[in-house]
Amino acid sequence: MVRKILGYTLLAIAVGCATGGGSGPSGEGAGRGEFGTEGRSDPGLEGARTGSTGVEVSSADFRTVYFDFDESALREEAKRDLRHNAQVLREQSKVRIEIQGNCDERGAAEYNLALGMRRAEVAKRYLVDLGIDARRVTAISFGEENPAVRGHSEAAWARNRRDDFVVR
Amino acid sequence: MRRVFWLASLVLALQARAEDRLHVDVHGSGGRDYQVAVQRFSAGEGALEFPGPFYEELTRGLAFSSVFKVVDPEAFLEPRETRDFEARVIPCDNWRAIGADALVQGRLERKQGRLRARFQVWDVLRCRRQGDRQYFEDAPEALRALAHRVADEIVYRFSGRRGVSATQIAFISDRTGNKEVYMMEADGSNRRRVTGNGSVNLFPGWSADGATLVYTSLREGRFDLLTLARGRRPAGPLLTAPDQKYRGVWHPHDGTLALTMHRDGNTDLYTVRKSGRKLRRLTTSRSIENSPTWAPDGKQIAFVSDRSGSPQLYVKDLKSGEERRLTYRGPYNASPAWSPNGSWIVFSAQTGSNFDLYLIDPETGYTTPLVVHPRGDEDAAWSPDGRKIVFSSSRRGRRELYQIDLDGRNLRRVTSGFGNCTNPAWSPWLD
Repeated sequence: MVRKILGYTLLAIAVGCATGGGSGPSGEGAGRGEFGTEGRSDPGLEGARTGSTGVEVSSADFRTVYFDFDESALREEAKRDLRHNAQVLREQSKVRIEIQGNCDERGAAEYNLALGMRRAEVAKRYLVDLGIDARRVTAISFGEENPAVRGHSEAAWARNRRDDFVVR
Repeated sequence: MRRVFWLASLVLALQARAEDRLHVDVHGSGGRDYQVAVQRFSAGEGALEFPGPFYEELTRGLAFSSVFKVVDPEAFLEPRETRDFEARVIPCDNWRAIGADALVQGRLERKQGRLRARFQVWDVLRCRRQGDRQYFEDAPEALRALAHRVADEIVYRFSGRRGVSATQIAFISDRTGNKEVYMMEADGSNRRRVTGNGSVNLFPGWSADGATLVYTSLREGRFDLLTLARGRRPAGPLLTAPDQKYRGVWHPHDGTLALTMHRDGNTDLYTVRKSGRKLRRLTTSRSIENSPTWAPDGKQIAFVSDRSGSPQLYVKDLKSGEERRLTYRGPYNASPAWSPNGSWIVFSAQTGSNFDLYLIDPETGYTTPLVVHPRGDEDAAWSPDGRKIVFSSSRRGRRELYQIDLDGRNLRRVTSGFGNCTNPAWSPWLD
């Protein structure tokens, strides 16, 4: 699912560039006065990752950071993992990353978009405090829309309350 | 109910009035619904195939109102079809005898390729016509919408509030594996997909005229607001600012949009004109502010903030800028939706690890549950007449859409076997 959204993200950016950021034609068969099916058709899952960054690190070199329920404060192990991530960034000074904040499925979806952003930004601030150039790090939120694991247990929720670090 | 009906009739009869309509509070009287008998419409030349399906849709629309119960035609002492649409009198005794309060008669005609539905409504208790004969017309393919418009007008004539069977509900379903925007009739029929970007789409919302949808989409890799207009125009972004935007909600009359946006390290409420200009920041605290909902006069906005340490409801007066806290109970209150007449805000409140729906009076703070026991209800939205609320619930496992009347009656499931359905948004009246 992470890969899926990442794939879409990259593809959407690629397609967006290809078409000048505009949207495609509206769907066929939309009746008069109806809302047509929005432009782009399904891009398909495979082949969406471009892998065109041409660097020696990948997203897998970064550690995922986890949070408590409805919290964006960094736990001790989260700080340790962020120091690790900062070290990777120091060693690869060309790499830019996107921090993607995520929430578990509980709570309101809209609130979780904002909470996910808080989680992404708290990690970004920590990296910047460790000397990483803020321009190398962007923060976005997927709210509860990109769970790492399915399921409705505390174990599943705990793995979904996280920041992913993705090489751009 | 019958006595209330008579009393109201009497009161109205004593009043000089421009409009010959009853304004009976159907709910809360402890009585029954109006019983409406519908004589199948007669057909003119070229319209012979329509009365059957038209009857089905008309009676569905009437039953959907929660104002009427449709009398089984098996019970009729009179013909099942409209025989003499022009008649000036009807045998009211024969309709009263089977318990009918109202009688609907009509005729379907073909006029220059259009289908015309002429109809009249009788108040059989007073044995007089309730309002004038009237007609609506539309393309023959739009028979369902045509019948529902007639139903909604009949509801208006008896209750003073137009019915909503001809309105639509936008919502999100993940049935393709991705969350896309869908549309359906108010009763849940005729579902069709509106977006197909294969990304994540959330929170559809209607413009005041029903001509444009705004929704939140991850299409370009980060959450942004897109608008989609009726017709074949493609969806496009509303604001060019690169900031993430989480939800847009249109003003009840003018083209202003209230939105939740992340900017300068904080999620706050903003308003912006439909043109994307005149962006104005409404909230400035370091907390999360989101979920705006307009008061029906557009002068206040209710929203969610965690400035107290947990998500709670607040109301902001747009003119004075004053903000006041509305909810104090419970660890997590969210997703407010202001009713069309302003009397209530419906919201979801955490109970245990789930949410239930509650109503709060925005003036007094008086709070009462909408649905008492079943857990897992969220995302409430009002019908344009304020009689019904549509919401999503996981009470049966998957998240599906349900409707309920404001007084807690007539709970019904609207979707099933359609993936997980969330974020319902009820359209305004569309004509």
